[in-house]
Amino acid sequence: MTDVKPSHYALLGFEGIALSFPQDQVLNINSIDDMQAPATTHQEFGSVRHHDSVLPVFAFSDNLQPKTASATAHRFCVSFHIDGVPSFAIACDTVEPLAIDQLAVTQPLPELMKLDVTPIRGLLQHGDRLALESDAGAMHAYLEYVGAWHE
Amino acid sequence: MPVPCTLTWSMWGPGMSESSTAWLLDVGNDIKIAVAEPEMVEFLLTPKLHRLPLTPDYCSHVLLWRRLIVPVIEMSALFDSPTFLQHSSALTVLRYQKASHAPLEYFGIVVEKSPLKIMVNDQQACEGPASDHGIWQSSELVLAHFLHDELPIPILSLPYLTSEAFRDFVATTHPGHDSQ
Repeated sequence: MTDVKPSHYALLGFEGIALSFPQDQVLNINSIDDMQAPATTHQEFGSVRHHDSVLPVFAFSDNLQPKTASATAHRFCVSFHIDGVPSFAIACDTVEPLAIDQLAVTQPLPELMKLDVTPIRGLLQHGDRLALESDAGAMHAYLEYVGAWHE
Repeated sequence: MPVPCTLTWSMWGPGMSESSTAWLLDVGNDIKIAVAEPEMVEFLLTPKLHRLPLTPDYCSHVLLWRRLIVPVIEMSALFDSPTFLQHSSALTVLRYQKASHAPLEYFGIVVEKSPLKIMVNDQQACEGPASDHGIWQSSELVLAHFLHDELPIPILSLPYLTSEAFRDFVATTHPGHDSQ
């Protein structure tokens, strides 16, 4: 299988972390004020509406443990799709586009740093900045693994 | 576990009957290790490190160095003691090859003091301390020991130290040290 690297990313900033996703997986960027109560009674996370879909909104600690987003701690919620199906949203403080150019270096996460399940697929260096590289599928799998995902 | 009592090793030159140059690294907790002179690339006093979440405790930072993203190993995280990365983050950049024609690979190792250049020869070869436990029991990690200032100094296999196998070995022998 050929792994074609994206050329454009969305860079989400929170808790001192920069987490990048392929820009074509982003559905929408909402204000955190658009976040609503959990969609179902067994969910602990808030939700955001995207057309007819209601997507869970996840925030993360500085160690990427899922936590509840809050309007006082976050500014945006960024919605993602997986293969065209609206899937989830992530709360963050900043969101910015990043185009890969000659200043950028990407590499897989070194093998000795990999744990069994992680949403981090690689590292992206742009100038003196470093972002964690993820994608919607890997994040969904991680959220399921840590028990944060409720259908 | 017995260790080979010879220092002969490709990176240390063709045999050790004559002295070879090595670097002595203080990796914290009064633990010193040695690497061959060609394995040392650079000593950085105050590098800017980036912490990565969901990584093993002993390797949870990377260094942006010469357009490379270099993993940083903190040996003191393996010694059941607080990590000192928060108050001292000097490090050495080391290099190794997995095979003779393989590309050079780089990683950083946190050190407490400036590296010390020393001369080593076969006459200094010795057994490891009988009290060795934990990671020092790994014959894949510790290639040999030599005496320096009356202390046995381990020579480490850098390819093994940076391998998935060592990561898995740590997860087995140091439960609780395998994730941030």
